Amino acid sequence: MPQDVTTDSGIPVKPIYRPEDVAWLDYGQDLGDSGSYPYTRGIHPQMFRERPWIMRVLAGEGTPKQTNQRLRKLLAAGQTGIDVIGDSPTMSWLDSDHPLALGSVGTQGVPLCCLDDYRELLEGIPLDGVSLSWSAPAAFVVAALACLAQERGADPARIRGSTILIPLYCEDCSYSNRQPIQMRMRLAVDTVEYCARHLPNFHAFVEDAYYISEVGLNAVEELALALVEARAIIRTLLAKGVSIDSFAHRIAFLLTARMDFFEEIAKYRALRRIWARMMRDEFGAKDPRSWRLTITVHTSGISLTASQLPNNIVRGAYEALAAVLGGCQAVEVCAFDEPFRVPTLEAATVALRTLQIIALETGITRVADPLGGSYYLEFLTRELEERALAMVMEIEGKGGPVELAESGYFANIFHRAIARRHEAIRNGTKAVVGVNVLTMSPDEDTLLRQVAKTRLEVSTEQIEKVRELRRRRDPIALAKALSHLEETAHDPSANLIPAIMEALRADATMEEVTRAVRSAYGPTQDPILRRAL
Amino acid sequence: MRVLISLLGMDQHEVGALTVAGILRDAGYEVLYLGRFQTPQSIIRAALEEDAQVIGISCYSWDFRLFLPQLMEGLKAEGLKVPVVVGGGILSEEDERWLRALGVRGVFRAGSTPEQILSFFASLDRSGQRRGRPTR
Repeated sequence: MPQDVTTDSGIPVKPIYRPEDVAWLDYGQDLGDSGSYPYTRGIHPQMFRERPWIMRVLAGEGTPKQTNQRLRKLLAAGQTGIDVIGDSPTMSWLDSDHPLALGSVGTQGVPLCCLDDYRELLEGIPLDGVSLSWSAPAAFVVAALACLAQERGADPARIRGSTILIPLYCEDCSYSNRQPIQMRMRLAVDTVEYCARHLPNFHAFVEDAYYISEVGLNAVEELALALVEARAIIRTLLAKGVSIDSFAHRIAFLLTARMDFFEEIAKYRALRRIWARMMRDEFGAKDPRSWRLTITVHTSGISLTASQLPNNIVRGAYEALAAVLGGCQAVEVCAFDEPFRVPTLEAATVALRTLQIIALETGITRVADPLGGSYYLEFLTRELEERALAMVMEIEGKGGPVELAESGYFANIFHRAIARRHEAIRNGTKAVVGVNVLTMSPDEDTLLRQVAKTRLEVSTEQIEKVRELRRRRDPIALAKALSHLEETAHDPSANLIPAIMEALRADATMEEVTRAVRSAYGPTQDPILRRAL
Repeated sequence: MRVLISLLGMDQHEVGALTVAGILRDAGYEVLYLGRFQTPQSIIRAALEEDAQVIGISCYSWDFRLFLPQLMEGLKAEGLKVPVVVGGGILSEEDERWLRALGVRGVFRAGSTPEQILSFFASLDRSGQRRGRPTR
């Protein structure tokens, strides 16, 4: 067996760590108790005794009604939050009846393109009862939740949950919508500002480093790119006159959990320390809540294999364990069938049970940061902190993040990561069981394969529903709401969310809302269709 | 040999497509990377304009179930005899049979190696040379 002498992100590692390797460590300055600055050891004094991490798995398939059934089953199985993912048209801000969407509606997530979709999705699920997390376009999610709260007479201030905010890198990875980047930044900033006022318990700003990590980024790149994006949005909000303490405590980071066990634990700890110092000393946050970073984790999808599927359950368990030992606030396990599809209920249940077994059987929740003080882990935590900060400085030294994104700078980082990972698997420096080592013939490799192969058909019912919506709505009310939205978009000091809510209530679709906002940012044609036809 | 690489419909997972494009480029093929958000029409148009000799489709979603038959039909209607190759980790054995019945020349499922892909392209290249370049 070859001996690995660096971590996954290339940090050279000695065979053993001793007290002198952490001679620099000052307990009060660098660690602090859990619940105290700089929160390296966790954000709550008693950690999981006080607040168990939120346990959830991803859901979204078929129609909003079908996904509603799935959510109810998962809640009945003991899930403590819901986690919804939009289908691929939704993630690209397209309606279910868009010509390019017809091959994918409801197959890789749930379609959410009008207020009715959100209404059906959340029927019977209390808005203030469980944490509602979303991988879907943030401005639409927040506008729809605020509309539903109004309809149900619920207090929007009591809505908990989160939504990903991904303006900078979405074009380069798998959530492209081809809208102008300045418009994406505007929607991101307005969403955070609106929530700071009206949904104070909702994390409208989840810095999503997960989907970009899925191309093969290492832990240092993941931290650095996440920080660059978060800092760009924070600076834009500050420039708009929004005070740091009004929104900073509702920023959360969504990170991956790779198979490099200790490096991943160190990563979560390093990020909390970076964040606390950055918020207090650089951005001048006064409220201690702004210094405490909420971290949520989705275990790595790219670490799973299409061969020997049961091994993926093992991978998910180790990765989730790293997230828990790293003191994270919510953990989702990537289900064993995800190399093939969004999870089946069977696979999602195994993923949920993985978390419940860690919580109920392993006993690791008894003590906060149980690995704190380990010579090796403290060494790694500092290495990751320093390397990530150095990369942030390097990137920010090259220019404004928005301009860098437009110039293809980040796309290059992603493309290099893809090539690097492929080469490491091909030449064997990165062992992947069942792929480049310990392989099995297809005849033997049958366990769980039936589950993974069940397929979802395109939801024609949903496509028809959206077409019907266009026929039955009031065209005058719709035109009025959309023209008001256009006017609002042309006024950069106005917040777009109330005008989007008005449009959604008039049964405008996501594409129509997007088009109205885009009128202030240049192209009038549908940027995806223009390219495809 | 000029190889066009594309995704179909809303499929946005480019890791596989970019990896295979890199493998082919490193082996000396001329790769035209068309990328995401393509339809049968846009692929056929690019194949005509760029004189592609192979069309490679990457699948990490099920969009191909709708769009691939349309692509094969469209190529036939244009009289374009360009071989189509499909690759993707989500493809099952049934998908492979279905794709081959549609006239797809090569199917690469999970576990395919770069060597297998390259040797298939080399065989396409040889047969292409024997009967002359497959242009219109």
